[in-house]
Amino acid sequence: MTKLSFTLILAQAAPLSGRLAFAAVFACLIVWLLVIPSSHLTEEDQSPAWWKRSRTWAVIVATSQMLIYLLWN
Amino acid sequence: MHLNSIDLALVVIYLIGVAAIGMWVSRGVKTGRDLFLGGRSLPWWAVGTSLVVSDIGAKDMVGLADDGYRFGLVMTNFDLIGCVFPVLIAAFLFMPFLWLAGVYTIPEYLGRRYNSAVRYFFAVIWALFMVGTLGVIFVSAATMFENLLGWGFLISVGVTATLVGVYTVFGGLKAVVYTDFISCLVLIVGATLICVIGLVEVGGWSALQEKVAALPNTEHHFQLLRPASDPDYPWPAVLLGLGFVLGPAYWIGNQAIVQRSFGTKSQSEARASYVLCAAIKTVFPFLLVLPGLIGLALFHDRLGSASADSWKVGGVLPELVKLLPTGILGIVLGAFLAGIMSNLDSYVNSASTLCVTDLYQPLIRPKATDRECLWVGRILIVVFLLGGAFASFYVRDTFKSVFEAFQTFLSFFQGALLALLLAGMLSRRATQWGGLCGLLVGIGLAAGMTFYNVLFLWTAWWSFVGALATVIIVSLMTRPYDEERLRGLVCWLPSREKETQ
Repeated sequence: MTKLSFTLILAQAAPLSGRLAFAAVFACLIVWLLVIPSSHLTEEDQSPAWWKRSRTWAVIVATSQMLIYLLWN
Repeated sequence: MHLNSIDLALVVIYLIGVAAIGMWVSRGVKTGRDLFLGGRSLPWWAVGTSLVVSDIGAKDMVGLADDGYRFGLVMTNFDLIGCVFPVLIAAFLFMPFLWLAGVYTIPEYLGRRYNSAVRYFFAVIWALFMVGTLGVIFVSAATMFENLLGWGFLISVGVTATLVGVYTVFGGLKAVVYTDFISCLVLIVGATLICVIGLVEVGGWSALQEKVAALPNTEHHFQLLRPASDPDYPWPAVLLGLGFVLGPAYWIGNQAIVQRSFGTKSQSEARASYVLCAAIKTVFPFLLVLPGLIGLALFHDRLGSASADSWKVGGVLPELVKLLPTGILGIVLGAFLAGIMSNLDSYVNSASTLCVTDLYQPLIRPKATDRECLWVGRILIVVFLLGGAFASFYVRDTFKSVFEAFQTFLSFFQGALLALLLAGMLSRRATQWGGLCGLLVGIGLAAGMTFYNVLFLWTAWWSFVGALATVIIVSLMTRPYDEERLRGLVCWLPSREKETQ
């Protein structure tokens, strides 16, 4: 009975744990995007301005997604 | 309901404009490479917007409005965790790699990585899936035309197929991508207008929340994530099935999507196009799901309650469109046509590419000239349009919503496809027998789970797990290819030319 109640509570509270799980996925993605070696990204060999780098924009997009999942509800 | 002359003029101008641009671009198409890959000269901004509307089109405008009505904001996950996340991974890991491999299609890559059986199997499955998807798109188009113009189902499908066929047959990928760019802009404007006018009609955002909350079965309609106990979209299934399987498989392995990035000038441009797509996809889903909530607040008396059993299929968007004033209606209908055309042209061009590259050339005419491939590709575009038209009757009579039909088709083989792609790209140890067995187990599991009515998100996840486990186990028991044979086909084994550079 106790176990059943705990499962029920977990299921009802899931959106909070769900939000954290989804935000964590995007947090991991941001870290990965930041640590990719520049040598793997051809345009960064020529060191363009930061706003011309697709990596910068990818991090901005991933951060916005993380915030959406954390803050919306 | 009938369009007045101003709306009709706007729609006609839009159609003539798109067809003219498509025909103008098609002047340079002289080879199969031009038809299938746009001569590898496409700019990133055009490819990025084309990626968006290849995914979001008529089926999403109709389907997501319907499902937004039934389930609320949880549907945006199909474009958030189901798109932005895999698109960014694809942009920085898989796309540059596939671009360098110089392949035309995903089955072609799988054939080189595993064996020909895997290639032909996936080519046939993708071709069948694309016929089904074309059927889904035709149903979306017919739903709107029946409601707005009073056209019959057959006439709606026939007119749509003819319109798209005219420029896709001659223009190929280049025409598809440039017309998609215009379609994307019109689609964003149209979707925004529906949301703004709908919100004004409801009385604003707060009024929308109050009206929806007052209805039965709507307690989760404004939440992005539903509880784990939810029968339709429990958050763990959304994360695992959609975020980790269906989304990545679709954005890394879907021919209609990947083919666009193969058409860019360079790896950097391919990557930039994907990032642009992800950026647009951050806001676009809200514009497509919000009409469903607005429809729920305004038309629940006419369309039925949000409970899945009693509501009217496909009726939300046509009801909303009737709110639009003269002029705006023409623009929105143009946006809808844009969605239909971009969806159809993308799938039909990709299906043709796939059949020529993976079935016609290797199996029927290995020595076919480039010109012959060009013409076979064009004939296949017509064949696929006809096949999709026939499939639309099955889709109309079988599924509750067009979006459900599309996702059901996908969940059959996406788990197995992703398992093979990941194992093949990331590990040199995956063997041809591992790939073949993984494919059979993954699809067998998906078929069995679908038969027992398991939620499609769980079907995708468990078929992926089953396929991946089989690839690993069988690969460990069988002999892998030599390292030289795998160069350029595994992420960590660059080709000799790349290594020299």
